[in-house]
Amino acid sequence: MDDRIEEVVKRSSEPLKDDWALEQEVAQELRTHLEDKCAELEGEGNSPEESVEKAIGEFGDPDEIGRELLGANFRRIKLRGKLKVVLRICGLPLLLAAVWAAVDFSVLAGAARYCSVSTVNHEFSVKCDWAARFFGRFAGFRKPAGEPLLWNGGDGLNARKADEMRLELVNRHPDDPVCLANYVAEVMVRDKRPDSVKAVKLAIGREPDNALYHHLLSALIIEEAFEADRTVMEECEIKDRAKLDAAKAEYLLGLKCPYYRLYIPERGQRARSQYAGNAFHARMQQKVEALMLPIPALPRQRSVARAAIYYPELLIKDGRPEEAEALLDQWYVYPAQLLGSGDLLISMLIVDTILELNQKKLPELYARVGKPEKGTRIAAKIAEARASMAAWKAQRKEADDRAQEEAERYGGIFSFYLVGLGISLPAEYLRSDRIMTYCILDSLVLLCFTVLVLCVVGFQALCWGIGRACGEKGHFLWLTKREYGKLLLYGMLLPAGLYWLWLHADLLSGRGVGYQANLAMFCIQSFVLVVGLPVWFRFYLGHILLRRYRALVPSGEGTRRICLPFLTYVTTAIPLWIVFLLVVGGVLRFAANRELQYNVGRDRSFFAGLFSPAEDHVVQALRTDLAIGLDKAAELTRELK
Amino acid sequence: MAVNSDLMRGVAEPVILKLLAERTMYGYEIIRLENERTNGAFEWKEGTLYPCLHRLEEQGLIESSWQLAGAKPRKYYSITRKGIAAMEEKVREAKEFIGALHLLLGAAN
Repeated sequence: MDDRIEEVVKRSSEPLKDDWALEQEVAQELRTHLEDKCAELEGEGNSPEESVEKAIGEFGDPDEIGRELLGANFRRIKLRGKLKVVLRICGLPLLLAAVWAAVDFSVLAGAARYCSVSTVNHEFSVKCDWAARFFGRFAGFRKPAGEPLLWNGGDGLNARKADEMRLELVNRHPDDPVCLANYVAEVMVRDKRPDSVKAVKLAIGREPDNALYHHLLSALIIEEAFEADRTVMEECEIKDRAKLDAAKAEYLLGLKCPYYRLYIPERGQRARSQYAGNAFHARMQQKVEALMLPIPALPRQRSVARAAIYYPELLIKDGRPEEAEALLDQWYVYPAQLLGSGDLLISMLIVDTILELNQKKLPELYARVGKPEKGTRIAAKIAEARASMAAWKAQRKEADDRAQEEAERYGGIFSFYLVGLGISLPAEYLRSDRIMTYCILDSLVLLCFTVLVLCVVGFQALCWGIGRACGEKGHFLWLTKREYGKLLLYGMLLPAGLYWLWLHADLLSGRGVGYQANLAMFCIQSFVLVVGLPVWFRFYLGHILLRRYRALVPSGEGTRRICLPFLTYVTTAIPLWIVFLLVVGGVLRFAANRELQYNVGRDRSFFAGLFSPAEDHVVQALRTDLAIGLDKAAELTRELK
Repeated sequence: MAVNSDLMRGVAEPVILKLLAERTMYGYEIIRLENERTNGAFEWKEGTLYPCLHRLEEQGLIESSWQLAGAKPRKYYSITRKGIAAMEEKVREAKEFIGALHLLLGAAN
């Protein structure tokens, strides 16, 4: 067999090589044909050499025949062979995607951050967990150790399940009062009455000496005793007198308890351990826990405080002034209990509110039981006790006003929420996902960019794979140094630089307002980034390649319109696209990191101002002043009794 | 006279079907017979016959079987019933086309 014939047969049947049997069958058919042809030509008097030449010449282009044979026989190729063909076609795009992901997984790191944080905050969404664990390995993030479920509030969508899991923890740790307090507080946050009553009763059973739970239960019963609006019970109709008496009994039980504990510092401390190693988040978390957690109990504490005044009034109406006076004489126990519950600003504020209520109501009520002077003197003492609060309140108001201004100016992406809603401190914005939101936004831009560029590169790689599978051979077109330089300068650096300048020149709107308030701008910027830059690069590369081609082909050809062979273009472009991806991706990542640091820095200063360390000292001093003032007022009450 | 192989491409299928309708043949035999009858007027590249044959086989218009001719294994093609029906249609189409072409180019002369 002549080698030249075998070469033609091989080239013609090669595209079918993924199905060996089919390839052999087709090769045999072609081989027989060529041998027959040669034999005939030799019979006509040609030399063997001439016969082979002629037979091959009349056979046609083996590469083209091979492509047509692949098309004609594709359905006959066995599945394994088909998979091989598909793999050969998609191999390069897949490889590029894999290399991209392996080399430059900042986007994945962003996803990992998001997933990690989501897992912490939405602790029950299992679907996120695998991603967090998988990407977390790359990104070096880890989930909090221990039992973090206890110290998070759930995401609000699966509250019942969250409650069930917290209850399970309470049952697993029956001697842990912090666990119990957390469960009760979280149930109370959601304000679902049957659940709240159940939780508080469970807590009373476990910790009967804690006045908190008795007062919470009392407040829950009070709310049932009145018509609709529970906040201004003085104006409400009593719906159920028996319930009101039950609430009073519970209140008195609470007054006899030796201590009143919300376990807020302990809960804050445990929450803080969740962010071990991250001082900023840990500090923020502690503040948030300290400031925010008791707030759900605040309406209840107010209810109890109002009821404490309301009960004597009812007793007076019932014609039982002695009992009313005995109850009035206990007015100081409840604020004293609250004051002893911890060195927290919120406790001071609640105590101050209760004292204010007593200051107003006691003179009137004592007057109605026939002891007007007693009431007046006690009210005066209460006013003295509250004096220390007044100066501090003025300072705080001033600080609040300043904070609002600063939020507008420096609040970063959340200032829109902070200022717009007039809320100074929503807890969830202080958790770590606040910072992560920057990552997500940046990652989003990078992700869009990556997807788009990968699509462009992937498409070209796919074309390359198809071309190769069909036996086409693309030519790599080397450019001159000057052309590579121009491509780098005008195709990449110049547009990227212009984009960067545009971002920082900020012609259309203020950056300080944040992305949310400036969504249109964000969209335009993203569009330019993900569409404009790659499209420009593609255009400029095409331009350079055509010029190069014109330089290479004979001058006579230059007059007509040149159309580059597609595979040649693709073969030349793919390596450049890869370089483009890596270089621009790296630059963007660097820029995104800078942006992140910039915003986080601003937020840090903003929030640091809001939670000044001075506040801690103020709380300590306030508590002492209030405690002394309250003691004096209580002492006077006892003397007058 | 020699007919360009690009022109041949369009009428290859009816030609092959027509020849196979006469008897079972292998690839080279088809070429040879066609050359005999046209005095080698169709200058088509012989290799392009095989994709065409395989396509027709894929469509179920012809079928193939390997047979030993002496020591050589050859792949013989024969027309199917579906192929006969298709042949008539394709031949009619080709004739109409040639007629139209003749009218057009004859008129130009």
